[in-house]
Amino acid sequence: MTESETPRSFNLAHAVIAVYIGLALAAVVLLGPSLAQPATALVALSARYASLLLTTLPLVVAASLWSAAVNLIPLRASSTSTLRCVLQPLPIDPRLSGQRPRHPAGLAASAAWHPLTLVAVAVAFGVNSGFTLFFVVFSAVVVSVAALTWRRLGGSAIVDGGSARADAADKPLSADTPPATRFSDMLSTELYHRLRLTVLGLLIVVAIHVATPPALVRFFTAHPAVSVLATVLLAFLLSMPAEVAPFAAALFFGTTSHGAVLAFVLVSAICPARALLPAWNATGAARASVIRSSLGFALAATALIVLLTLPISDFAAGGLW
Amino acid sequence: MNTELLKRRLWAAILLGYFAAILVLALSGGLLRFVEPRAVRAIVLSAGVMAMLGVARLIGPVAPSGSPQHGFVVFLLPLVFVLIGTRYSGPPASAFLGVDRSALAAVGLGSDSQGISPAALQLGRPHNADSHAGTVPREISSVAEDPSIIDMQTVRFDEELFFRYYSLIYEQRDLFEGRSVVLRGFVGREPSFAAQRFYVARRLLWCCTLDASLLPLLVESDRGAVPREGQWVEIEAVVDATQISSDSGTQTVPLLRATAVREVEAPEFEYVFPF
Repeated sequence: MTESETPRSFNLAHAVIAVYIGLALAAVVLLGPSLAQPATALVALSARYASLLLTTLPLVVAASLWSAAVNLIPLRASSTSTLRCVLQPLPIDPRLSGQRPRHPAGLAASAAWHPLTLVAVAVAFGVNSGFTLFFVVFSAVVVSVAALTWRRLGGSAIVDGGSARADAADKPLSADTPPATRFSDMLSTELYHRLRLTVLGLLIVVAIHVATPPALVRFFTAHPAVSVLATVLLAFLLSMPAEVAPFAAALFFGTTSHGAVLAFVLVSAICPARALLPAWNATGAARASVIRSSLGFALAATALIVLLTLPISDFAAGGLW
Repeated sequence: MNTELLKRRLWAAILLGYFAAILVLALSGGLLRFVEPRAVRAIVLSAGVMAMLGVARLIGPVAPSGSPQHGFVVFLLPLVFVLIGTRYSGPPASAFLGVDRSALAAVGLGSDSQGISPAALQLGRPHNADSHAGTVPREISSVAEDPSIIDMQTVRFDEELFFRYYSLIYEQRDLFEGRSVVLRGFVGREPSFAAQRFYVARRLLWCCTLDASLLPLLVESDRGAVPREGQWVEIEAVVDATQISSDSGTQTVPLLRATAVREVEAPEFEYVFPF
């Protein structure tokens, strides 16, 4: 089988929506009985959800504008990784993934340390809270460890999931298209994908936040490793945009470990499911890269858990403040 | 009609619909129910961008390689939840966003909060000028349980949470107004009280019983249901407000309109702690 063969049909949107519906059904079945007053809980959920959604809307629009604008900047293949990192568009649209840095450290750092991600973290957690600094320092550690591990596995020529799809399925935007049209088209597509993931992701997170029984919260508080694992899995499945994830993570601050909150933001920015699923359509070398990406993610997640559940994390958090 | 054209127009309609909804919320003041005032301008600006994009999708040229878009039904979710959310009668929902400052303080990451800051506090919102809690110090309880009362139809003033809720009901009275509360305490009266009014109180223990502070809450019930002074009672009540006059002037304080008053045995340990 070669890369030129027709890729298998796999609809990312349907897969993500199926995941969301599955999570919602599981939440209703597992957590529904714990809600003593469903009507009150629904109103509280709705208010919080609307509040979160409206608060994050400017960042979603800003990220879409940024990504669409970056698409207009002609970047040659020889452009340095640094330049690509600076101009990283935080892409949702797979066609923009071609602009992403190919080096894994750059790939990871560009989303985790993107200006909009940092602004979102600062707004969600407060500039003076100490957690913003905690996020920057620990995300550096995690990204570095994950990148080193990745390279050890021979992942120096990473083709991320998005570009695999771009290579295999999507038609690139024509260079003949007027810039204004290209900008409008890209902005529309970015906003469409971002808004959809935000709308659904925030709903799931707020529902979990409202409906989680106190006993489960206490369990997570008592078992930081489990809470990190749970938030890694949740962030991976929800695939929320990087600029929205900090607001969702902030809902769990104080009820889970720092590592869990940080892991949610990092996984959402670095390696959500949406970055891997499209490449599943691809074949050949692109498919092999998916396996490497998945393995890299697993190792990165492991590194997250090991690093963030150690007592040093709390010590460092206190020290940073 | 061409399917692609239909999708394009549908997406444009969604963008314009969002713009219209946000504009209505902003102009009616409803937006302030959900977000902090400083965020309103950015949200309206974002809605403006969405509107311009919607218009561009309607009338402007479209690149032939535009990626497929479907599943528009999910964009109806926010409208449904905003509609339900308008029934919300608590403090601004933005108070529940971001990090609970008391949680930050509890884990040693620092906080810029002043005094009480449980999850339900209206962060960043100035306290009412008439908020007053007598002479009781404003230290925050550090009990592990820190529930958000927004999820409670009935707020129970348990032993560990009594001082927290007592402080909160004075500091953020509107957070409790209309809600039911259940609390235990001993009964007292002042000569100036109307016949159907009394207070239910606990004593706050700081270091020793000599300097214990009184934590009274004004209660109003039917005349026939007013218990005798010193009697321990458990009351169920709905929180309201009333104005009282004192040497320092007139002030608004919470008033518990009792729906049930039950006599109970005094607890073995009558005091509550600030932490």
